[in-house]
Amino acid sequence: MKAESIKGNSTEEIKIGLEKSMLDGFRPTLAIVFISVKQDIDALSKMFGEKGILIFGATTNGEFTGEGISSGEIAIMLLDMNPAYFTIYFEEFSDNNYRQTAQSISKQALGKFSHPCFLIAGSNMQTDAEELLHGFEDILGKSVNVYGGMAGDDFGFKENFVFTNSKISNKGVVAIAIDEDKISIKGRATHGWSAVGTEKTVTKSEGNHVFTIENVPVLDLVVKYGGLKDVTPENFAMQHSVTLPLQLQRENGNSIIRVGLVVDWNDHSFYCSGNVPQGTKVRFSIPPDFDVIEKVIHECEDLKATEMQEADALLLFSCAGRLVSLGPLISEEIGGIQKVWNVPIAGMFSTSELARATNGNLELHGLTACCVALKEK
Amino acid sequence: MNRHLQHILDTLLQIEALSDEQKSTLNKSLKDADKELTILEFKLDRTEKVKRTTAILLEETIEELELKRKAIEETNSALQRSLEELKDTQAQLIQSEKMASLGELTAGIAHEIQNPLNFVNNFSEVNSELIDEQLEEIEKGDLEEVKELAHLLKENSSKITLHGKRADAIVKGMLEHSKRGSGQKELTDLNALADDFLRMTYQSFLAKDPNFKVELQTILATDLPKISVIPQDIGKVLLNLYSNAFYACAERSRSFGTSSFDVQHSKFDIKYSPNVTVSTKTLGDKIEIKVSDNGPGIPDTIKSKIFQPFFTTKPTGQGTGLGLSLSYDIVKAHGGEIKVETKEGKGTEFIVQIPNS
Repeated sequence: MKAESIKGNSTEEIKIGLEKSMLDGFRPTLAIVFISVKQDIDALSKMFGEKGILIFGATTNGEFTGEGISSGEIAIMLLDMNPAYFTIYFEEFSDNNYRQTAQSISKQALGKFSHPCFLIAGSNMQTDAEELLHGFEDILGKSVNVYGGMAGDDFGFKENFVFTNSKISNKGVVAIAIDEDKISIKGRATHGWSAVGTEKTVTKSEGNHVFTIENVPVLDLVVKYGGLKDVTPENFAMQHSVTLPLQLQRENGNSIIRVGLVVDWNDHSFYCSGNVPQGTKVRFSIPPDFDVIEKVIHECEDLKATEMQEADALLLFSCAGRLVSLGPLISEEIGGIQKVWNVPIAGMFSTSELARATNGNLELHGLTACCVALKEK
Repeated sequence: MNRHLQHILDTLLQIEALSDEQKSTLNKSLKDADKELTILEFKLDRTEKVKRTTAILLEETIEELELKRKAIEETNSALQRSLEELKDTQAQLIQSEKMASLGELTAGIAHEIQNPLNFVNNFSEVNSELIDEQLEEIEKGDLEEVKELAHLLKENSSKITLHGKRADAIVKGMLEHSKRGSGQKELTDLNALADDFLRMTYQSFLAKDPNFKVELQTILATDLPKISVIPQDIGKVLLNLYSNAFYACAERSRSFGTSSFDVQHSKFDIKYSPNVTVSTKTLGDKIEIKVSDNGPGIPDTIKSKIFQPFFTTKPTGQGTGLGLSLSYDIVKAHGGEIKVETKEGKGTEFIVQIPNS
């Protein structure tokens, strides 16, 4: 399978890039599109439709290829994957039927492939992505490979989208079901954030809506620990909460990150990047030392050594919080990951990531770099 | 680009003496410097923020630790108080157990006192009659008869004194036993102690269970030296061991009784004869007292628990579960040890060894 990544600031630039990539006879069948909400998604979809290329698309908090990072632009991975090896599913959620939706997609994919695996992207800040993952596991078992991320909107945290050819939704899921007997897909999520302070208890929460920790509104704690003063809805930047995420403590020692994404100023509560059950033990986390970049790259090297010696293409769902916390150094991380397999890379800064941590279950993550390698067998 | 670097770049680019290649190289170097500067600024800013957060969290952690330390201190004090209360309760329990055993002994003691009292009463009555006779003989002037009656009176008086002293000793022993706590060690004849308590305990047991019959056996070493012990405490140990032995034999008797085979069948010839034996001997620098019974024995499952406080196999109200526990403590306090050897269906032997020093 051949892969090429292209980048541009408009549909026209992408069209030029696409045509240039096809000069040597490359005929992509699938475009994995990471695009800013500022861009004309309809025009881009139409252009790809005219070329007979199927689209898996999500809006981003920033996007990148091996050529660099951008914000407000478009980054695409083009693949000439045999159309018999994949199918794109697109569903809109209604009545929070996340789990049922994923079950339905799984059943359809199972009707087409004996061993389906998935790349998925979801939209809407309220979407319970963990339920999506459970839906896949319900039908295909715990070992199913599902990777992806939740869409973004250039750090607006208001409205984001997923799309495919001629379909777009601000509350839906797009999924590529891939025949795992033909295409290998492996991924891993790594964060590196360090827990600090004492363990605390979430005293009030509903789903991903966290009201209080130790009976104190969660925003007040973030303001206190961040050393912030005179915080108002106008001057509070989400990067404050992103740099002080919650780390859920687990009995098995693995921890998982939940980032506050939206503040409810009525009661100073947070909507987080995933569920935080009431009663959960949490610790606040601070960004890792800058050597975390080496750690992430090392994890990818380990993935290469143990599960995926070669790859045709590399996708990266990197949490928007990493961009905030690692700043200009994020380029080094992306470049370092690409060098592990030395193949085309494309990716997005996502709102949250869907993958396995090392030895972990399929889970919704925050602040991770989730790399996904694809290889035709 | 950083404005200072931009100024340098602008200035350099205006220098005509520089070739295009040199300008390009300088441009690249300055852009690299700008990139490094940007990264350093970012790192510095983030480090400052993390430092601030860490300091606040550290302060809070220290405060929480301080609160926890205080809470632990308070818990510690409460535990200390509980421990002291527990010790007081334990002392009260020991005293209660002592009083309970005194109650148990009452019947035996009453029986023991009754005998000498009978002698005292009888001889007193006899003496009264003899004095009447003597007065008559004095009237008659039969001096020989008067003398003989005087001898008899003296003899009886000695017997009254003897039995009076015996009753006195029993009462003193009872008072000794009821004394609270720290008794003094004194040279004690363990053979006499073992024998006295065996009889008293048996009499007490009979008072509760008049039909109980047991063969009492004493195998006491004649060369047993007196040793320094707290006699009322060792007496308490013996009382507990004997009581348990009698209880075990009585239990086994009952189980034989209820097996009710037809006595017409002479073949079924098993007959249980309860036996409790106390023996003493010298073992080098130790004195050993063994109390054995041929009761049902102690099952292996509970053997390890019998010295635990409040462990009892007796029905509710019949045992405090403190007897063997206190006995264990008493023997330990004397520097000795107490062991049990038992076999189900055969019997039990308690072995007490106390240093001879």
